[in-house]
Amino acid sequence: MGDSLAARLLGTTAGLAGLLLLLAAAIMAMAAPWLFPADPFDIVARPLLHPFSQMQHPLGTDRLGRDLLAMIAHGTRPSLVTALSVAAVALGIGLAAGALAGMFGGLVDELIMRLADALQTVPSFVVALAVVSVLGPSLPGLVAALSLSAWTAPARVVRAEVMRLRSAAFVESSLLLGRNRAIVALQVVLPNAIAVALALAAVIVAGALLSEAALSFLGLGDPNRPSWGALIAEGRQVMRTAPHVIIAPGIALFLTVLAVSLVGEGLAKALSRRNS
Amino acid sequence: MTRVLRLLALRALSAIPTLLIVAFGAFMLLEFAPGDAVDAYLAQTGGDAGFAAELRRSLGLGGTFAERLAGFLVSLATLDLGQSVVFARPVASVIAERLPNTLLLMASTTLFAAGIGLGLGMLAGRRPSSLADHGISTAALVLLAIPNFWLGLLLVVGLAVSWPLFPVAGIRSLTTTGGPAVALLDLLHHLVLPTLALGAGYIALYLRTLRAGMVEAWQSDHVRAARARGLSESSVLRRGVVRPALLPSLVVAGQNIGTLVGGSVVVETLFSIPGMGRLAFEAVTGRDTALLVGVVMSATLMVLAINLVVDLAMAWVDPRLGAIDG
Repeated sequence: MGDSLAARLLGTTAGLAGLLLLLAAAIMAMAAPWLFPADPFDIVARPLLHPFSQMQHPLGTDRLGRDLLAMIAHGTRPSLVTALSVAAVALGIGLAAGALAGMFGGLVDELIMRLADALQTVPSFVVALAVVSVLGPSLPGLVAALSLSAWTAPARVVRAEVMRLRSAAFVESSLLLGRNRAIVALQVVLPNAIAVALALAAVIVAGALLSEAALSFLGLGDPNRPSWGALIAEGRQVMRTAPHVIIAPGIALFLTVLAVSLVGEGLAKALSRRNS
Repeated sequence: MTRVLRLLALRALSAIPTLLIVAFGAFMLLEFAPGDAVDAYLAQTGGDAGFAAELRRSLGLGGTFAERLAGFLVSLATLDLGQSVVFARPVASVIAERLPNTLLLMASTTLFAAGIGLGLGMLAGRRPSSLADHGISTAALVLLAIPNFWLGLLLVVGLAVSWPLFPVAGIRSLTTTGGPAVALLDLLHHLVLPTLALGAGYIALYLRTLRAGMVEAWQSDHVRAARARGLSESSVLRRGVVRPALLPSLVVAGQNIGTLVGGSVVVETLFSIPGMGRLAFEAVTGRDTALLVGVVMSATLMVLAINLVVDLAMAWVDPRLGAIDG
């Protein structure tokens, strides 16, 4: 399935454009330490240098005279790592919880789904705010805060898929052969449900990128590493006279979220074509 | 009428586990937050360890985990949300003061986003895969990718500073002279930029939901039947395609009340609107855990209440809902 799905993804305009943009972001994330070996927080030039006015600092400088491009480049990796970790954790928990709920039904299902109901009712950004304020703005703290609500969507999708597949002949026969329900759930049903959950991954990554940036913007991110949200927040003081200070990091964030959404769109198209 | 009452009772019952789980989560927040209400109080007044222990006992903060949890749930049930450290007032009164502004922002955002979103969705879904559809669907992806706080800042720079059409911040002018009509206009004037910043993403949401419903409806049997009966293409569109696709939009509106509250944290902070969202932010920066717990609980209640209204609206539109077998 992997091969043909990837080929189909590349065949859609959205998927191709998204993957190219995402590739650019990934290269920027990995190459930042080589392209800008100095500390991105170093003061290197006159403050509020305009973009494209000096070749050494193509995007100009902020109000302290720090190179904007270097800070944006160094901010790429933390953003991507946080968002991808949130997606991995949320999908992992969602797959497991959805499979358990769908396979066992009854009390297990009831407990898991009521928890999902509660987490989908309470505003997720407020939950993230509260959790970060307790756990602190470390990577594990951020990932925990943002995954707490994000696992519910994949759990619901996987549960519905598992319930549909539960009565399928190949699952029934595995159970008749005397195999444990949980093992059947994980081995037989999951691979079928994963394709559906993958399409949700893009939505989770895009949401996590935006939420993480919003938390940093509010000053709840890690102050010791460059972050797009924090850059925008700092630019607020000078945005009236030097709007490039907020525009440049915002475009980086926007393009990354757009790339992920495009990939998700392409994935959904590729999946629907495969099923039809 | 009994159908609606049964639906109401069902929804109210299903809200109980949600409230209990959120209350437990809020209690864990109180338990794990560094410092408690007594620490916060002593930081202002001063006092020795003996006084602190006595105060903890009298506030029900001592005892075992189970005792503290029980005490917390009892005070919640009696709508006692405790005392805010930052505001030095009961949490409930601070929240009651902030709630209307947030409801106002949520209402204006929903109206704006649903109006534009459903209109564009109809244009896109009228002829799926047409040029207009591709253009509008791509625009939706762009809208979904714009960070709301960034859009808010750009709007401030463009439409409040460089070209001062709208106020930079606040919800109403400090000095308004004139009658209620002037006050209302002043309020709406202040709401324009926050609504645009918060609503952009929701335009895409309504647009995509309506479009997807219309694409599905075009392939349905009832559209084929309507065409076979010789109905004009415009009435097929109106009655066979748009109408059935509108119902899921209502569901989407209900499902996104929670994210709207989350978005209002950023937008209210950005535009200095004294609402619930900014209150959540103030509670976190002020390390006022009692206030944060109060905001979480009342935001949950608000989402549940609005969802109930959406459910009733759905039952009114769709007579199958809440029927004996449904």
